[in-house]
Amino acid sequence: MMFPTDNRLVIKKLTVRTIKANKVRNIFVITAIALTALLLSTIFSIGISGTESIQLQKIRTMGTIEHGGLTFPTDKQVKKLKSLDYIEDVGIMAHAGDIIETPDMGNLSLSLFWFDKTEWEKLRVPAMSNIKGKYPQAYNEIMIPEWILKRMGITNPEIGMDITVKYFKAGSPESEAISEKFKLSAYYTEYSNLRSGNMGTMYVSKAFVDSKGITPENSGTVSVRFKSNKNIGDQFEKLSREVTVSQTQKWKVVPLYETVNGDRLSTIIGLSGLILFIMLSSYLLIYNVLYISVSKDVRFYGLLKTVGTTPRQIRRIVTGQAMRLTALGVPLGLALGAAVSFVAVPFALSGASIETGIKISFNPIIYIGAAVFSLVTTLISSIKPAGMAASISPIEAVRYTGTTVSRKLRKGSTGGKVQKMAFRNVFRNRRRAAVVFLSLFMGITTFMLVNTLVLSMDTENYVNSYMDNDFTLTNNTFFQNGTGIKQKFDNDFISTLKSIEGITEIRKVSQKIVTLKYDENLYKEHLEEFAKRFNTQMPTSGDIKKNPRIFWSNLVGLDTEYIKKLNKTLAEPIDEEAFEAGRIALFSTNNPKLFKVGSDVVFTADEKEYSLKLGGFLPERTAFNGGMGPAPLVYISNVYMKKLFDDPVLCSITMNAETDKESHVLKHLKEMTANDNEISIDSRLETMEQFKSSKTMLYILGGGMSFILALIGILNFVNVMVTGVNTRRHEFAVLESIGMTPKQVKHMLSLEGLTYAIISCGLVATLGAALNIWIFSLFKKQADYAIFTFPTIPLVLSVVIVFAVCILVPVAAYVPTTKDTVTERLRRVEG
Amino acid sequence: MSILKTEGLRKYYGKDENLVRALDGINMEILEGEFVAIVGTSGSGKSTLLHMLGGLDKATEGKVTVAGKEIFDLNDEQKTVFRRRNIGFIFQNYNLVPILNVYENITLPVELDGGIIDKAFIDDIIKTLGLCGKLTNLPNNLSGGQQQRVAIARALATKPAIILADEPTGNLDSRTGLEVVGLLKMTSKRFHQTIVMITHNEEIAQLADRVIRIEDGKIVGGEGK
Repeated sequence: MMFPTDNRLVIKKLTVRTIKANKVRNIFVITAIALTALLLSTIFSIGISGTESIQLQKIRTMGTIEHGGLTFPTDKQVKKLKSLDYIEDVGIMAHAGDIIETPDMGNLSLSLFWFDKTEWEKLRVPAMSNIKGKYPQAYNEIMIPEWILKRMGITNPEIGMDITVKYFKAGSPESEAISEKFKLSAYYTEYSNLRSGNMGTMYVSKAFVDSKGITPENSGTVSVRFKSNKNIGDQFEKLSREVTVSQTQKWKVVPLYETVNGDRLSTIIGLSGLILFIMLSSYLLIYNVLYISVSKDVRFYGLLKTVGTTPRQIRRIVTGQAMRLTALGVPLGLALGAAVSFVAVPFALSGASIETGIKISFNPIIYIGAAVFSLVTTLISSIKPAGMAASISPIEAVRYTGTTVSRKLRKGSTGGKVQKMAFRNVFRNRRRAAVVFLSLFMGITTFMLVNTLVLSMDTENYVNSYMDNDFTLTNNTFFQNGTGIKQKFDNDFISTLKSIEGITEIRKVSQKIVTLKYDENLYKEHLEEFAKRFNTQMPTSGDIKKNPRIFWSNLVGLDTEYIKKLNKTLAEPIDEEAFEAGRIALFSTNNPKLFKVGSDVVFTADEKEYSLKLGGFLPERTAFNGGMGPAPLVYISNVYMKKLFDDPVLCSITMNAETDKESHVLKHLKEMTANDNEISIDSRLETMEQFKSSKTMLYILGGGMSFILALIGILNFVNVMVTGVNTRRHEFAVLESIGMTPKQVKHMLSLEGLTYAIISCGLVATLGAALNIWIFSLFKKQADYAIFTFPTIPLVLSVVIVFAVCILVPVAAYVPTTKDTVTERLRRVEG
Repeated sequence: MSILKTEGLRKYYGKDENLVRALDGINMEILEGEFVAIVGTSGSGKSTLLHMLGGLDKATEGKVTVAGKEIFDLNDEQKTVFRRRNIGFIFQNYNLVPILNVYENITLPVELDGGIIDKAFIDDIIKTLGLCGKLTNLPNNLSGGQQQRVAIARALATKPAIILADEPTGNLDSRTGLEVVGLLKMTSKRFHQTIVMITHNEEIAQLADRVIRIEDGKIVGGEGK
């Protein structure tokens, strides 16, 4: 009888049996692979969840996933848009009316809108969450977002409940407003109010707009979403060429789809570096484990070769083992990674100020990516060991005893000393020793680095360098589009502030947009610098003459207190009295050489011209963070500001409080501004807490990662030591037979471990410390509040652990081999 | 008909004053079906010669032709394939693959070649060598004599042109040694195998059809019988 065989089968059998024969090694390799997959999937998960959460936040605060739209569309235009093949969805909406708010709603501007099915389901729903109920169908049905319901005093909305709304039809005068009873058909959570302040919308049915004679053509918009997310601007240009529109119609582009900024590139570079570092670290372990395993099995592979296994088949046996171990380690690591991501992702992203909720991503890319990178690491790690196994000569294999000594002859007669033997044993295989050193070095250095960076992030220093005051209230209407600038801090507000116990100081910043009178002598250099800095074209004096408003700027009013405080640090103090009286104005610049003190500063506001003398300079961004025009920012005193303009709008208020009353003040401020998105509070107290929690987060994440890397280093050492002791069993028996006591053997082994520890820690103390200082200096450039803090305690602890492991493991590996008698051990032949 | 032939085979180790002439011009020819013993003292070069014959090691000079093929012309991969098809090995320390059982060890060379297992032939070998009851045992559980019999079976399994046996009795007591070589001789006749065996044991050598003596890397007698 003849049976055909396939040599793949026998190779597979040999691979599987070899795996089964190397249980301890398998544990090391699987652990290394699993740790790699865990680290990588966690990093990918944080990265991708972060990106997705930020994308979601963008979409949610935008309130729609459309790319843009066209106002007052005709049916013909809508039909044309729907027919274009590069457009995915075409939604229609119409402005049905505006709502007269009731006093208890606070300061809101609400309108009524109608969405068609596509607009709601395809373009809006993806940007909302917690949708309950159905879009209005009947005339008297209404849909309201939760935050507006809350403002109306409805905290537990129910579908079908009655809601009375006073509104007036779009295009009609406010006096025609009527009250009507609606039934709530749906409610949901929307996030666009985070962006648009106090503007909101309720939604009505088609029946409603039809009955009022409202059409998209007279008060609506058609919105489009392209099939591709790329080059939105270009696509709109194409669209505007293909669809003819009338003079009154306008194309609108959602301001979300901008080009990628450089920030992302540096993140990608940083992330790739981190991934490579992790891959290198696990490469060192996997490579060393496989390498040692192959050299231990030299006889075995040589034997296979003698019997007729070709080098290629042997290579397949070794890489096949690595692949099979990957198949076990990767899923293990990925499962752990997925479990960890539930904790690690929200934790890591808690500092990223994502207000619309963090989404833990389970994007397959995370796991495929981590698996691929782990597999690649293992495959690269197995190339050399496989090559080594393949090139083993059968003769050498038959002679091999497992104890290679480097080729150089040893001279000298004192070689018998235990210390010397230990030292030589460490360097018996230099490559193996070097890999262990490097592996331990990487682990401990990363640990040191993470500790240095986190401990260097000084909370007090951070808060002081970013906040001059205990509290800052900001009037957000300066930065929001649509609502127009409002006086948020009126006299009532200020007097309430003054009544809060514990506030020691209140300073106000007011603002007005003005046009400066262009004077070539005074502003030419400034303008040149401005053009260079913002990379714009410099307006010529001719341009400015033609249109003086080009040369605009912010006129900022400061309480004289600011100047008093600043004078303590300014090289050239400012005349406080002249400032308060309004005789001088100050420019904001970091380069005073551009201007001449004493020049006339002439500006126009509300069609009146004012003139002051230039009295000095303040550093850029002093007390004011608003926009910059081509003209320099002008500071005058608040007293004078009030004289010039009746009620100048306050853009921010800064306050200081008694230290022990800070939390009390914060509570009051929060009550005063509750629900008002147009005012934001920055408090030193909260900033400190946020900073502390992001520090803790960095510490735990970074610490976790460096712990795993250090673990990889230690595993590498343990593997080298355990296998080393095992292959040298015979040699120890020989040593004992010629008179070395087991105690001396143990001593020698401890010394070997100690040598590993000393050399690795020596590397850390020199190279690692230098690396540490270098990376800190890079970090310091990004975070100037950092103060170099050497992590003495964590480092001493980790060094103690490394030493303990290095001294104890070799002895622990040796003890079990001493169960048999010396003669038994001597007689036993390898294999 | 000649199955194995060497011409001017030399193997030198070291340099200058350390030069060792392990083989110093070996010319010999072995005919199909012969059972030849190569005898020499320790260090005479007999092991080196056997390694050369099997293509396990490279020669400094000279040619080895096995079944009409000059083996030093082959690269590593080709040599391995040629070896597993044409040469069977039997070692002093058996060299069985510890992770495979007896049957798997015997069929390993055939399987590595992706060849077809001649079940009847393998069964015949197993029966002849008395291994029937041990097929699922791992090598560790066998006595030395039994392990060597497995090695013989493995060498025979591919129906090689020639079997090279390197001190096959070295690790066995004299009674088992004689028994194993007796089996080797018997199987060689039964399966028409050519066998080259090296040994330092005169008594064992006497079982061969022809004895070649080697001393200091040179053949010193017994070219013919």
